Amino acid sequence: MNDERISERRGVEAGQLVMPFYLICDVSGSMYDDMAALNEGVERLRRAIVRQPVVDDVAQICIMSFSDTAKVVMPLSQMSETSVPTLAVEGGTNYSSAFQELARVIEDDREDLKRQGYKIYRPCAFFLTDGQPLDNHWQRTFTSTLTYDKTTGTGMKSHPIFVPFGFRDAPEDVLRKLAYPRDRGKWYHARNTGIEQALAGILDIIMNTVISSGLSAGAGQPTLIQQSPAAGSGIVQGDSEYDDDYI
Amino acid sequence: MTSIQVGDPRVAASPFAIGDPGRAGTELPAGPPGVRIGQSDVEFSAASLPGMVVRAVTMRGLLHRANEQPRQDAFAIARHRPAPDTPARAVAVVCDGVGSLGRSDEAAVLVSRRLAELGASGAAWPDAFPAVNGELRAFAGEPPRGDAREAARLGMATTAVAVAVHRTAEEWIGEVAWVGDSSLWHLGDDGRWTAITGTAEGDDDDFHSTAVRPMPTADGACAFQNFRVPAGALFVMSDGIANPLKWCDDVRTTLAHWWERPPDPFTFAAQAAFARKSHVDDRTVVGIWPDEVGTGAGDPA
Repeated sequence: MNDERISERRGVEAGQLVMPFYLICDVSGSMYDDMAALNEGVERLRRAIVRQPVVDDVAQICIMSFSDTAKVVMPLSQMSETSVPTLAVEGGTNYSSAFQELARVIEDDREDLKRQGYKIYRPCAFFLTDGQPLDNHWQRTFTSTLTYDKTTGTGMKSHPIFVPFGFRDAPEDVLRKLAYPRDRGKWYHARNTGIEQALAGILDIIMNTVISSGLSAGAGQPTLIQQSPAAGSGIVQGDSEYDDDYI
Repeated sequence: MTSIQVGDPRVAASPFAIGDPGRAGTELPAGPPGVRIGQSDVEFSAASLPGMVVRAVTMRGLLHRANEQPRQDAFAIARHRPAPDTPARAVAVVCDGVGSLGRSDEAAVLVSRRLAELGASGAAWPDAFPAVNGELRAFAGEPPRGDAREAARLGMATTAVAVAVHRTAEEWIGEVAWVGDSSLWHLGDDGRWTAITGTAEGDDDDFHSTAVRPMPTADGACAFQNFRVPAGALFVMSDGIANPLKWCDDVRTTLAHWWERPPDPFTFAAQAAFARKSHVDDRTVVGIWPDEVGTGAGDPA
């Protein structure tokens, strides 16, 4: 600390603004050859945020992995104050386990942050998958865990803005149904492109979304600014086709 | 970007901090000159009126500095001299341009100056606001239709809070009017902060959100109230400083300590720019204290 700095420090940091992002990575067996590209992309995301002090001060990132089960590999943190763990390949592709764990973690984080007096923006969840769900009830689980029905007041009121990214075998019709809520969620699909290029393009979109959103926080009108894919990236983007009536 | 260390002379943040200054408050370089040539990062003024001492400052927040965008806040101060035997009144206006619209800095300057001019001429706020709302609407022109990006680039809007006040031996007596979330606060002699205007937020139980109704409005209407408060000092603010004041005990305590009496105008500006993690919006505040030494030194009353 600069000796000449005039500080009034009382050990309480209530009122700090926090913009939470959750990165949920598919580490199923089919990702075996892509883990290096995935880990490099996540590390690149970390470096990009740390280079922007204004973004680093407000954005907090949680990294989760899922296969047969889901887990937190890096709790919600300021990127400059943590190191990114290396993701390792595991088993199948169970979407439901990811949705359930994400809902639990978001609720826990929200309660924890609010208890400490933070002001929290609605979180954004980036869901990366290379495969189709192996669990038949993924859509029902998604609706029951990560969505909210305003008319009946049921579901997850603190739901995230859910942004799915798919490549390789991830079906586009599934991605369309996972983008949530209908008026804000977007989906992204890497078609006809190499996996390494797809992962690089997807993580660039996530990086630019975090940076531009972080740069809008703290100025009165924070906005989740979902970035468009780069020209020539082979990635397409679309609006949510989440079915509100699905049960 | 080259690595910037704490204490680096390229950093232009205030030397004052309350709590954790954040990385932006210690590392963000000043960056290139502002995109609005001639607009300074910080403007401040001082004034003395019979029974009153005034300090005013507006500054570009660290976020606009990081984004290489102009300051969108503005203030204007003036004096209203009514009939010869009635006390002069301080007029203070604070405006906070809407960040998503590219020309909101122009709206903030226009509205603050025109409201202060009308206040100085004795116009009542409920008459002044619709008049200035109409002027702003005419100045802004019609946004281009069908091109949201261009409409945002050329659009303008601003909040406004306007105060006219005089001091008696015992209390402050005045009128305040506002559109949007800029606000008027009273700092009591006991160190307690009280919002005189409404400070409602768009938060629900779960998450923080913001929504303001800025000028130009459809009908030019404003919220208005008369007030009388005892002793202490008055502060007209944009939300860049009102939000940390509302949310943070240590900000309330520290600002109450710093501003118990009027600091010199240079110190006041630096204090209002205190660094605090994640609070990086533009800030504007006009402080009005009782003149406890004389009757407004140098003022002919």
